[in-house]
Amino acid sequence: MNAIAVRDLTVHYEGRPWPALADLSLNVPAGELVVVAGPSGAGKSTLFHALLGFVPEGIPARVAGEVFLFGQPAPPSLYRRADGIGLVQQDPEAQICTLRVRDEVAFGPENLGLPRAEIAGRVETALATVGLTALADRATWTLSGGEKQRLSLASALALAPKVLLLDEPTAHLDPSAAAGLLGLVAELHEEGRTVIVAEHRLGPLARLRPRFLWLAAGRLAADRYGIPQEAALADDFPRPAPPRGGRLLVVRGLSFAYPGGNDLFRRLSFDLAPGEILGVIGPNGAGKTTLLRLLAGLTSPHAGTIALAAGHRPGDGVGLVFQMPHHQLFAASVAEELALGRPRVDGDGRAWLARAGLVDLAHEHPLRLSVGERRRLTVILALSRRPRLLLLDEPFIGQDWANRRWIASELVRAVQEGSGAILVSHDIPAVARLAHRVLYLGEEALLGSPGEVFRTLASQGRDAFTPEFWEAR
Amino acid sequence: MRHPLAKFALLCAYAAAVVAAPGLAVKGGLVLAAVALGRRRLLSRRAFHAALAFGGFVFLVQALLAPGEPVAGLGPFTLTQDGLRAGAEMALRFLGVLAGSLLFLATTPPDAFAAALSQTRLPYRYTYVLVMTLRFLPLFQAEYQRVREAQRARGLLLRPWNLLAHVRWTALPVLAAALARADAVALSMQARGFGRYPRRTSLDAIPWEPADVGLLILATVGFATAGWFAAGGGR
Repeated sequence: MNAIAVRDLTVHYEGRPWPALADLSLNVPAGELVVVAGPSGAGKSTLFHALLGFVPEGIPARVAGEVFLFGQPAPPSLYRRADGIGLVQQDPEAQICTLRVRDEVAFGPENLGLPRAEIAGRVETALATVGLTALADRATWTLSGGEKQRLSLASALALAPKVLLLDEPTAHLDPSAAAGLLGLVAELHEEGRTVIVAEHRLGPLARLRPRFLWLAAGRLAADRYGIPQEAALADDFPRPAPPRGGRLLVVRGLSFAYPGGNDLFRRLSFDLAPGEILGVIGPNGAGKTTLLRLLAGLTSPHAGTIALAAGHRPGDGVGLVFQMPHHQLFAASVAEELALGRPRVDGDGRAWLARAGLVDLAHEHPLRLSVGERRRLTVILALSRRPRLLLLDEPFIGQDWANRRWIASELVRAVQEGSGAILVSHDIPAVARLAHRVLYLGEEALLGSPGEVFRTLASQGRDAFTPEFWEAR
Repeated sequence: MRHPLAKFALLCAYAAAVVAAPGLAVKGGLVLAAVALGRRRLLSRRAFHAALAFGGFVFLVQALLAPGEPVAGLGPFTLTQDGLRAGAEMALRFLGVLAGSLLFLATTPPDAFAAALSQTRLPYRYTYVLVMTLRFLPLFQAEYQRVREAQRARGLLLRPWNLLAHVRWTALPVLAAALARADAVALSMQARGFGRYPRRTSLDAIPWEPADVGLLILATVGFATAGWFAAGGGR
C-alpha cells in the first residue's frame, strides 16, 4: 500500500519563469522513511506544500497532476488533509499559536471538533511521546528551541496523522536537541509511521538506511537507498592556514548574568590571534550569542576585561553577522544596504556584490531576496568594513551546500587577510573543518584544539557535539 | 477566580453607569467605590497615577476654558462655575472607566480572557486574534531588541526623537520579520485543521460558577441603572 502517490505533479508559481516542480512522480509505501535533500530552490518546500494542499490554496500557483493519500485522491483543501498529514516546520517560532503547552497540543483536535475526553487523552499521549509531560502547563514562549520543536511534533501527532512531514526540523536546534528530535523521528518510524523529512544533517538519519530523494531544479535527480554522492561531496570546505603569531583579542576573567538568570562563563579567559578561527559550540542558553554581544561591545561584562587590538567600536573594528538575516537588513535596496551606516566601503561596492553573486539584485529590496542571498548580503556587509574581528552567529542555518561553501571560503579568505574570527555554530562538522581551536560553552567551558575538545566531549558522553555523530556514512 | 467574561460584563456595566451617572456625587461615589474595591491594586499602579495626573489636567482645561459665570480669575484665565462642573464630570468619567479597566486587568490574566473569549459563540477566527497577539508579543519585543542591536553593530545611531527614522529602521524590519513568519504560522494552523468547521471544541472549559452568575446579575443591574441614568433618572 502506498501512503503517498504523486502522479506527474507540476507546480508553477505565478510570475516565475519555470516551474518549481516539474512532472514529479513518486510512490512512498506505508511505513517508509524518506529523506528529501537538494539545494535551495530545488523544490523541497514546494513538494511539501503540494502534499499538504498549501499550493494552490495558500500560495497562488498553477498545479497539475494528482496526489493520493493511502490510495484515495487527497482532498483539495489544506485543512481537510489535517488528520492525514502532520507537519513540523523549520522555524520553532513560526508554528506555535497558543499560550500554553497543553493548549498547543490540543489545538488540532479542538479544530476537528473532537470530544473533550478524546482530546485530553490525545494530548497526554502526544506529550508523553515527545517527553514534554512535565512541561504541560508551561507558557509556550518560555520554551527553548528544542522544546518548541518537540511541542510542534506533539501537536502534529495529536491529530494521529498517517504521514509525518518534517521540513528541516533541526535547523535551529543545538546539537543535542537536534539529536534528540532526530531520535524521536527514528522511533516514530520504527513504530511503523510513514515519515518524510527534509534535512541537511544526514548523519543520524543515514544510519537508519532511509530512502533518499535528491531534488534538483524541480526534478527528481536521484532516488535510492544510501547517501547520494551529491551529499557526500557537500562539505569539502577550504581549510585555513595556521594562524600568525600575536594577539588580536585578549579576554580575561569574563563573567556575565542576565537579570534573574544564572552566571554565564564563570571567569572565561581566552586569546585570539590574527588569522585564527575560534569555533564556539555548546547547548542553547550557555551564552554563545551573549559572548558575541560582549565582544561586539553591545553589552558590558559584569566582571573581566575584553581588550581588542583594533579598538572597540561596534560597526568599525568589529564585523558582526547575526543569526537571522532579516534582523540586520534595513535599507530599501541591496546597494543602499551596502552604503548604510558608515560611508566607508573598502573598495568598490559593486565588487563586493559580485563576490556574493548579488550584482543583478543590487536594486532589489533586501527582504525579497532568498534565504541564501540574504545571508550572502549580511556576510559582505560585515566583510566590506574590513573588520579586524569577525563575529559570526550561526551563519549556516537554513543554508544549502553551495552557500555553506561560499560562507566558509569567505571566512577563510578573511582570516588569511589577517582578521580573527569567532564562529558560533550548532553545525559541528563545519566547526570541526574550519576552526583552529574550539571553545565549548556548557556547564563548564572547554578550550583547546578541535581534536582535544571533541575527544573530551565524547568521553563525557556528549556525542551530539562531536563531528563523528553527524557524519553521513 | 471568577469567570473572565462575567468580570468583563461587570466592567462594561460599571463603565456605562459611570459615564451616564448624573451629578458629581453619584459619579464620584462610583469612582470611589472602584478605588475602594481595588485599594493597593490600583493605588500602587503607575498607570493609575498617570490617570490621576491626566484627570487633573482634563479638569483644569475644562475649568479654565469653559464659558459661564466667573468664580475666580487666574492670570489671563477665569474659573467658571460651569467649567468647574464640566471639568469634574469629565475627569471623573475618565478616572472611573480607567480604574475599572485597570482593576479588570489586575485580576484577569490576558490569556484567561482570551481563552474565555474563544469559548464563546463568537466566530473563533476573530476571537483567536487576541490569543495570537498575546502569543507573539514577547517574540516581537525580543526581535525589536535584536534589530536595535543590529543597528548599533552597523554603526547606525538613531536619535530618540527622530520618529520617522525609528519607523523606517526599526518598526519596518520588525514588521517585515513578522510578515515573513505569517505564512508559516498560517500553514501550521491550517495544517492542524484551523478553519475546517465553523465550531471547535476546547480542552479546558472555563466553568460558570454560582458567584459568576451573581456577577452577571450585578452587571445587568448596572446596565439597567445606566439606562435609567441616561433616560434622565436620578436627577
